[in-house]
Amino acid sequence: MSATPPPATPQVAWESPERAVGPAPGIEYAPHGARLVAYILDGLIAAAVCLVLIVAAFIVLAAGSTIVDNEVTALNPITTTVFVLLVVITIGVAILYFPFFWARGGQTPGMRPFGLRVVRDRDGGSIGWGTAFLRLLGLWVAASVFYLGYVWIFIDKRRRGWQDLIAGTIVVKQS
Amino acid sequence: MSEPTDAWQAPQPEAGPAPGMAFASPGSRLIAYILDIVIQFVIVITLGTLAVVFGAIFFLIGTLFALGIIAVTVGYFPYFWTRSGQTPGMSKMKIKVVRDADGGPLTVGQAVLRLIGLWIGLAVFYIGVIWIFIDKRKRGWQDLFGGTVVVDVPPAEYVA
Repeated sequence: MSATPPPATPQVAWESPERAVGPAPGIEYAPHGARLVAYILDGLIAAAVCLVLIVAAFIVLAAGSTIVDNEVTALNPITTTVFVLLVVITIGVAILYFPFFWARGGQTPGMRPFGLRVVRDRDGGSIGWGTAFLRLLGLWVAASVFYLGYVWIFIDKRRRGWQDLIAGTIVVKQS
Repeated sequence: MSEPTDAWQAPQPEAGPAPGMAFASPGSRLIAYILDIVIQFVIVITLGTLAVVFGAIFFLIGTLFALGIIAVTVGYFPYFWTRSGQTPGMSKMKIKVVRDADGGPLTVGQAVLRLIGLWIGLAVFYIGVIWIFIDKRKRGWQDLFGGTVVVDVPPAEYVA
């Protein structure tokens, strides 16, 4: 029989952590966990869209090719053009997914369930296309050095990763 | 959409090196550096092609172009830093590098030290440039080595 530890009772003397103060009344800095899950959701959504597009592209390519003895002998020029277009669209989705949503209201589909939003650090306004692309560049930079740029969110007082510091943005949660 | 509100608590206003001056943001510095690398790359590729073409005709001319590649690789940054404090990329982003002590132009010695500092800063897992996020005066190792700081060019100094 092992001694059961005494139940944890609330300590009167307990010093709770300081409440994180948001940038404005009713707005708080986005919780770390919500940002992580939102990012994972966005990654899944973008990957799913790209997967569907690329599979469609190859189905189209296969439909237009003449196969004799397992060798492609001829390609239909129209379906080949559609294939190339679909591949270009796939690459476009992969690159534009994040900047598109950041520049249009600051909320990606993954952020929506958590009420998260990317805004300008200076005044809380929405960001434009230029800042959105700079933030994407910052996201790549942040990931490139052992993800140190993401870890920065734990350190920074306003919870800015390198992508935020580079683009001058913060992520907030509207309650 | 998110509208700017008066109730918004902006980040602590960062004091610049002088009234009306601000330390350059990491974003502008990153873009400026990328622009400079692209320009350098184009020049080096051009010189390399010329070196191969002319080297096939006359060896010595090819060698001269090859020396030109080394000159561009080593000299590009110090040349612009000492000349106006602005590389082409920095001039596009309206930022410039100045002496940390008094805001004056860089000496040749400082520029060379700054380049060496940049190489070291990039070599050690980019910690030298990450330093810009930490340092109060936004100095990377290149700035600490060279005794420099990068500032926004005041609007009054824009060259039309």
